[in-house]
Amino acid sequence: MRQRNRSIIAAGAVLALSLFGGCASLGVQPWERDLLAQRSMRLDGDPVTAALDEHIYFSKEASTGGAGFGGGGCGCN
Amino acid sequence: MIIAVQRRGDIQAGTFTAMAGPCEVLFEGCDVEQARRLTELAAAETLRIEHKFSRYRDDGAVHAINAAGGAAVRVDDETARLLDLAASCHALSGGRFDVTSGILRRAWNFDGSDRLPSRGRVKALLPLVGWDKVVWRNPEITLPAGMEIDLGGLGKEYAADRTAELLAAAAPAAALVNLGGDLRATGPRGGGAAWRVGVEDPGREDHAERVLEMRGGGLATSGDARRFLLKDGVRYGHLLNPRTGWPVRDAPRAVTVAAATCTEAGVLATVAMLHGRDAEAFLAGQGVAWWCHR
Amino acid sequence: MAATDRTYRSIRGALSAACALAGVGGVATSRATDVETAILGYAEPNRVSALETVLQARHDFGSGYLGNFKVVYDALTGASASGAVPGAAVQTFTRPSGRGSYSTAPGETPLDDTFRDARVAVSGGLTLPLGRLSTATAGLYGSGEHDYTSMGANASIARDFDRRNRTLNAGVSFSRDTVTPEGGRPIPFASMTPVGADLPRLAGDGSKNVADAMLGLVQVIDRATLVQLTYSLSRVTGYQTDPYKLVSVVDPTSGAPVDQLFENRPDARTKHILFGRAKRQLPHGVVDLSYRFMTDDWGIVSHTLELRDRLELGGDKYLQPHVRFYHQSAADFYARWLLDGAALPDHATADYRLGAFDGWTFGLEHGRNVGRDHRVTARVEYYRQSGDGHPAGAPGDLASFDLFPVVDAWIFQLGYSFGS
Repeated sequence: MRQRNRSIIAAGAVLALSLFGGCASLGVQPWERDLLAQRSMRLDGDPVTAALDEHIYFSKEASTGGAGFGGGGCGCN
Repeated sequence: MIIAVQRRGDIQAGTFTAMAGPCEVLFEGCDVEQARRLTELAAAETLRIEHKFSRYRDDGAVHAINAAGGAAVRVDDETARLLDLAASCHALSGGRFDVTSGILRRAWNFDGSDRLPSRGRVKALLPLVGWDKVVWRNPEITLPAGMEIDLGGLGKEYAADRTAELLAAAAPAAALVNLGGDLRATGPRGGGAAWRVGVEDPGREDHAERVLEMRGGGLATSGDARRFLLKDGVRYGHLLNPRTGWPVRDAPRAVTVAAATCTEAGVLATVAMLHGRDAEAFLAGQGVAWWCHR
Repeated sequence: MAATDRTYRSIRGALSAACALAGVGGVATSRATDVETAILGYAEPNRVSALETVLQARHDFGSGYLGNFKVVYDALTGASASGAVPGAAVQTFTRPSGRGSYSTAPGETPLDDTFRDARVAVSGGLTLPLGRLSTATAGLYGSGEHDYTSMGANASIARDFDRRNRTLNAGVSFSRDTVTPEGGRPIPFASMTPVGADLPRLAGDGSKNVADAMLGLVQVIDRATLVQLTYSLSRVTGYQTDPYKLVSVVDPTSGAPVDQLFENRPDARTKHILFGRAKRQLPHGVVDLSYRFMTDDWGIVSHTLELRDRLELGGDKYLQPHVRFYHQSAADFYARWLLDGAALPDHATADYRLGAFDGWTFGLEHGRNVGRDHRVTARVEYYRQSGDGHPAGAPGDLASFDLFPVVDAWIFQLGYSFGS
């Protein structure tokens, strides 16, 4: 089981590197940032809702985090 | 280099000459000695940028690009950032703002006379104009042989911003940089008060000054009351349309824009001028403060 | 004279971005404060309900310095599955504190109804520029409830590459949590004792250390698409047992509970998390798709797939449907029951949150601007957890009981935010 997990992670890392490492054609010129600059495209556009969800699922499931650092708490219910 | 510092009320004013004109830096909360050191710092940065991006000096970055004779030139990080900005301005202005159009000045001499160049002479230069003919792959730029770039349309405003940013870190309180009418303030004066600056009104040929108030950001003017040709009652201003090689028709005499940075203000003012009779319509859509002189 | 009615699109935003890339604009004079507030209600019918309020403020000090501060207050009350199995007869359980008891009807899942707690959490952080392309962020966190405290700190750095089309970030965080259950911590695998009798307790508080490290990448793909990829490693050491949870020991033939033991979890856990997310602007609005893979050395593997699709309604209004699917496998030491007479395992828990289950969330959010710079949002979500209620090998009566009753929850949230 642990062996398989390790190979899944390795495969993910290789995929990520090949996707982004060698691709010079990705990205936009500065004047093409009009859509990316919108609030709805921000990765942290709704931090309060994201943190509330994180706290709910932290209390109800065995997995937490992943996207960034969350707060703690006992999650005991 | 000659710099002078004098006290004007509660501010210290340092002056020097660079970028083909008088330059001024104003400081709050400084004594004369501090102001002198800061003025030296400002003058050194302004001259550094002037030398680096001047077409006329044979040891600068722009000269190396223009003298390459069709070969690729590798540029340093600062030049690369300015070339990126030039590329952005070209794209954002629909091709109007073009740093390769300076070569047209071989045909045009805006000395206030009525000596227009011949159509053939202008047309012969057009194959050497157009940013789209330039291959810019950061950090390498390749100009077709014979073409030239001129970052003069960005350099003075860029110098005002960079100098202001240096002063923001070095000065004890707010400062204002004025490079021949291109201004950048590091912030409001003490108590949130505005800087009051006299700017030559380029729309008036009697050189009268207008007093403007600034609390931060940049201010730049495009247009020059003295650079034009006049023939048969038609005024030919000095901004050239890179596609025709001829002065932009019905352009305002000058446009002044206030924006977050001097560079941004300068580009908006120049692009507005390049819109000719639509300058006001263009400016109205930008969400900045502007003044247009017809 | 110039007089046209042509309208021109604004190039200012893109020009500002281009100027910032050119290295000017670093002394932006824009100083702004964004404040977001929200109130959330959470209700599991017949089980717990909670009310959570949040106030967050973010301030841009200019020159690339950003600060944020957040206060959360929540109150929780209700009942939660204790881990014990249903029985054919009425079962009476001593409350974990040792004071008082509660009873469960035949066939019903035993619910410990003593949960009543309030939590206050405070966090703050500061981001500062490191040169033109990098930023550093540091933060502190603390929370307290009557039986649990957590204190933590985190730090991260980010650097932009390729004209800010690619951002790499790396961070670490550390927290120390302390649990001080009412009456003390039961000795692992100790039998529940009748009210009044002394339950053997561990000395002192239970504490655990959580150390996290993460490595992330954000890549702009094209004008409308952004992807994020993050790997996190988390190491938790110390007391991770839930002092309120039980595991039932049942008769191998009848399935009737003969003993209730306090659970016992390993004191170390290492988690690996791979998180991927893509956001894309489409003509109707922004689609946000994410996937998270988690695996740990407790034997849990989980998959989380989440989709938000923001439908722009015009006039600064939007409607955002949300779907989330979660699946986890059970921890190696998860045991819905233990058999009487068999040797005790090293560790055991019957907490359904460490069992195998699926979770589905369906939600809808509406947001709109009210006046300049003021926004209100409202959302409703339904969350449902379901697992195997009739696991193979259930002895005697247990085969006829639902050993994993579905958990339903409703979430309501109102948000109000404003910026200057």
